[in-house]
Amino acid sequence: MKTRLGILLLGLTALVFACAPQKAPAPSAEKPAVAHPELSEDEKLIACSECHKEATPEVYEEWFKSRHGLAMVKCFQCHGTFETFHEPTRETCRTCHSNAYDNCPKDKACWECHSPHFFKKHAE
Amino acid sequence: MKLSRRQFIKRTAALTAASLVGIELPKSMKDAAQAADVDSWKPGVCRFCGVGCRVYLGLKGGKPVAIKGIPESATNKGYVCMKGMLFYKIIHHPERLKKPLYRERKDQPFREISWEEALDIAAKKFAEAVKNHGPNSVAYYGSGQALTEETYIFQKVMRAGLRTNNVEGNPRLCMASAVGGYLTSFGADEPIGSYADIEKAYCFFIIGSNMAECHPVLFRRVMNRKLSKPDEVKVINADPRVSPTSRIADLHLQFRPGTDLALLNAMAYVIVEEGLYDETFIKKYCKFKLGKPPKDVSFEEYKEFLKQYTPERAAEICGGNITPEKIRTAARWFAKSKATMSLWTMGINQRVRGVWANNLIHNLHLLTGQLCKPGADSFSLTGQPNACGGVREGGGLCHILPAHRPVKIDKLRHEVEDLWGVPRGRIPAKPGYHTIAMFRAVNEGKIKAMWINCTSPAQSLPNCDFYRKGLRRDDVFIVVTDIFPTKTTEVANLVLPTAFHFEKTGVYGCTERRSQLTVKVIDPPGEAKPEVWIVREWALRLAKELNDPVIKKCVEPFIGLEEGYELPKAIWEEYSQKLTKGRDNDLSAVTYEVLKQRPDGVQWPAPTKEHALKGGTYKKFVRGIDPLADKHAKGDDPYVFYGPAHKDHKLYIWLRPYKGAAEEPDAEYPFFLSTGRVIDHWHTSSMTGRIPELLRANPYAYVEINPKDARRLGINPNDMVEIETRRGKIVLPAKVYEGPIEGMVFIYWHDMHEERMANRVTKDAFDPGSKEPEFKICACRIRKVSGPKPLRPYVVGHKM
Repeated sequence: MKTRLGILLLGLTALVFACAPQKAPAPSAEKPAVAHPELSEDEKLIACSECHKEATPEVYEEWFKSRHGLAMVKCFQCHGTFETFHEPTRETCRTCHSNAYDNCPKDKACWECHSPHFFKKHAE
Repeated sequence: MKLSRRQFIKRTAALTAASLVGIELPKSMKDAAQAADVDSWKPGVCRFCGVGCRVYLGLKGGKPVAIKGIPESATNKGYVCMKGMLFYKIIHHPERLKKPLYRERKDQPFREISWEEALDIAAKKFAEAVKNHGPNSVAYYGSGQALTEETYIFQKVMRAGLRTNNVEGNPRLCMASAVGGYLTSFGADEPIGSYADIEKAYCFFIIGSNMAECHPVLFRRVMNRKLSKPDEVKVINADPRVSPTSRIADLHLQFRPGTDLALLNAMAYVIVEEGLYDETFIKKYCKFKLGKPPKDVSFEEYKEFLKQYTPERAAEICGGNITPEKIRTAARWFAKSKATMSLWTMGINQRVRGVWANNLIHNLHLLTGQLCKPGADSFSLTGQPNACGGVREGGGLCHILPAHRPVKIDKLRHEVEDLWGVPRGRIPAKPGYHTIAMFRAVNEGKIKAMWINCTSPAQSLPNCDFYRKGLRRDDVFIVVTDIFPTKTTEVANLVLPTAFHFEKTGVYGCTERRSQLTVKVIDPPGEAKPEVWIVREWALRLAKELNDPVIKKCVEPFIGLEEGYELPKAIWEEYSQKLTKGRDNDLSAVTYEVLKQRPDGVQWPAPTKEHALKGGTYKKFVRGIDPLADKHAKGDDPYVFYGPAHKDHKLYIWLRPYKGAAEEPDAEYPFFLSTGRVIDHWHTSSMTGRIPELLRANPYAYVEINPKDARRLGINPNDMVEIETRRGKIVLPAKVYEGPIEGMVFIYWHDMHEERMANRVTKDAFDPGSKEPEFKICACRIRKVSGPKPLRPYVVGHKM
C-alpha cells in the first residue's frame, strides 16, 4: 500500500507543483500548462480534496491546518472547478483580502510572501 | 460512482506519473480575467445566511462578474464564504424564471401568460376564496430571505386588506424558539449584544451550532479570536455531532441527542453549588420563574430544583463522552471567564422544547452576570439574511404585527390599524395558523388560496410528503413567487418570476439587529419583477374584485411609484418611521438616506438621526450606549431591561425540567436521525445547486454514520443506505465518519432528489410554545441496500 501510494504521490506532487502558482500569472487564454488526468462526469462530482488528501497529502495537510483549512476555504474557491480551473491570480485573493490587494506590492504574486496553501503572514 | 475513490486515485496517479497525459483542463482564465477588469463595484449585502456580510458586486459592461468582501465592514471584515463569493453566477443563470406561468390544474403543463393575466388570476382566485370561504381560507407563507419591504407589504395586505392573520414564513422553522426564549427570559426579542463582542470574549460556549459551515464568516471571527489568544480564550463546543466547528474547541461535549436540557441544568447546578454566580446581578435584575402561567419562586427553590441535575446524574442522562468532570469544567470556564459568549442555532431551536433550551442557556448568563458587559452575551445565531429584520420585526409571523407587537393585544393592534389608516377591527384579534397548522389546514382543504414567496416548503417542511399531498390538491390555488423552479413550483398553479438580489432595492436586518440596504444596480431578466410591485398591483385588483376600498387603502401611498427604488423606499419609510417609532426596535431615524450614509447600516434601537448616523446601538439595555435604556432609567443602575414583554423590567431565570425528543429511538427504530446543512449549499439548493463549483463540492446528500455503527451493520463508505422512519424511506450514499455520536445518523438536507430528500423522513412534532418543528431529532432504522452506485445531482437542468 505504502509503495503504491508513494508512486502515486510522486506523480501527483508533480501535478500539484504544476498547479501551484509560483509567479503571478497574467490572465490569458494561452495553452494550458496544467494537465489533469481525464475524469468522467461522475468523477467530477468528487470534491478535489477527497482525492488530493491521499494523492498530495503534504499540500492537503498544509491547507487543512491553515486558517483557510480551519475556516473551510476550499480548493475551488482559489482554483475554480473543472470548467473554470485556473491558477489563482491576485484578484482571486482580493475576494476576501482587498486591503492586502491594495496595500501589498503589485509586482508580486500574493503567494511569494504568503506561502501557498499554508498562508503564513510575514511575522508568523 | 462508477469507480471507488481508491481506484480513481490509482488511475489518476498512474496517468500523471506516466506522462502527464489525459485531458488538459480548460484552465479558463475568463472568470479571472473578468474579475481583474471590473468596471464598477456596487455595495450591498450577501444574499445568504444571517451574518449579513457586506460585499461589492463587480460589474463589467453591466454584467455581474465578481464579488469581493468589504474590508471595512462591521460584520465580515472583508471575508466572504464560497456562497457569498459566487452568487453573482445566479444572476444571469439560464434557468431563471422570466415569464409568468399558469396552469388551471396541477396535472397540466404550465403556459406562459402576461403579467396582466397573471395578476387578474391571482386576484380573482384569492377574492373567490374570501367570498366563498371567508378570510381565513387564504394564506401567505413567506421567507427570512425576503426583503423587509416585501414581508411588510405582503402582511399589510393580508391582515388589513384581506382580514386574515394567516401570515407565516420559514423563520418559524428556524428561529421561533429563539424568539420565545428571548421574550420569556429577557422580555425582549433579539440579542442584546453584537458580533463586536466576539473580539472581546474569553470563553465561547457553542451549543447546537455548526457555525463553521452555517455561519462561516462569523465562525472565522471566533476562530481568529481563539487563535489570537490560544491559551486565554476557551472554546466549548456542545453537540451530539463532532463537526468542523469542533476543530477550534478546547472541550467538546458530545451528548446523546435530546439531552441538552439536562446538560444545561447541570452546568447551572455547578455554578450554584460552587458559588460561581453573581449575587449582585441576580438580586438587582433577576427573578426566578416556574410554570405556565408563570409564578415567582425563590433562589432557594431554584437550588432545590437543580438538585435533580447533579453532574453525575446529568452525565448518566447525556451519555456520549459526558463525564461529571467535563460538565464541571465547562461550567467553571463559563462562569469564571472575563467574558463569555454563547452561540447557538438550530440544534437548540429545532427541538420540541426549543424555548426551554433557549431559556436554559440564558439562565447561565443571568446566574453569572455574563451579560451586557463587553464580550459577554447570550447570542442566538439566525439562519437567514432577513429572518430578524423582515420577519421577526416586520410582522411576518401569524401572531406578531410589525415592530414586535403581539396580534392579540388590542391596544397594539389598534395602534397598527390607526397608523395604516384602516378602520379599527380590520385586523382580526386572533392569530392565524402557525406554519404546521397552516399546512395541515391546506391538507384539510381549509385553505383555498395560498401565496408562497421566496421559499420552498414542499422540500423544507418536516414530513414533507404528508404536506405535499395537500399542496397537490386541485382545490387549493397556489401562487409561487421565486427566481428558479423548485419543488414548490411543481405544486403551483401560478408561478411569478421575481427580481433577485441587486435587481431590486431593500433592507436586510441581520442577526445583530443591523439593518443594511442593497440598492438595485442591474435589471432583472425577462419580465421578472420585484415582489413589492407584484403585491401592489395584485392588491389593487383585489380591491376591485372584492369591491373593498380598504384593500386599496393598504397600497394607496405606493401607487404609481417607480418599482426599482422609489417604491421600496416609500414602503420602508412607512414601516420604519411610522410603525417602529417608539417601539424597542425603533428604526424611525433610519431612512434610506441614512443607510446610504452609513455603509455598515444601523443597529436598532436608533430613535434619532444623530444616533443612527453613529451606527445605532451596539448593546441594548446599557445606559450610555442604548438611548432607550437612558429613557427608561429610574435609578442609577447601569442596565435597564425595558423589554416590552416584562413590565417589571426584570430578567427571568426559569426552572425548566429535562425533556427528551418527541420521538426517541426504540427497538423498531433504533437510531437517532438528525439533519443539517453543509457549507457549500443554501437550504434547498435551488440557488447554490445551480453554481457548478458549489454543486460539485456537495452534489448530493450523504448520510453520516459513526464508524462503530457502520462496522456493526457492514456499511462501507459510499454504500447506498436506506433510512427509514415512521414517515417514509430514503436511500443515500454513506459517509462513514467520526462525526455523529454512536447510535445517531446525520443527513444533509439540501438535496432535491426524491430518493435523497431528507424531509421526507423527518418528524413534524413541534414545540408547544414556539411551534417550531423538531427537525433535529427523530427515530430511524438503517440498512445497507447496495454498494456504491453512480448518482446524479438533481438540480441541474431542472426546468418547469
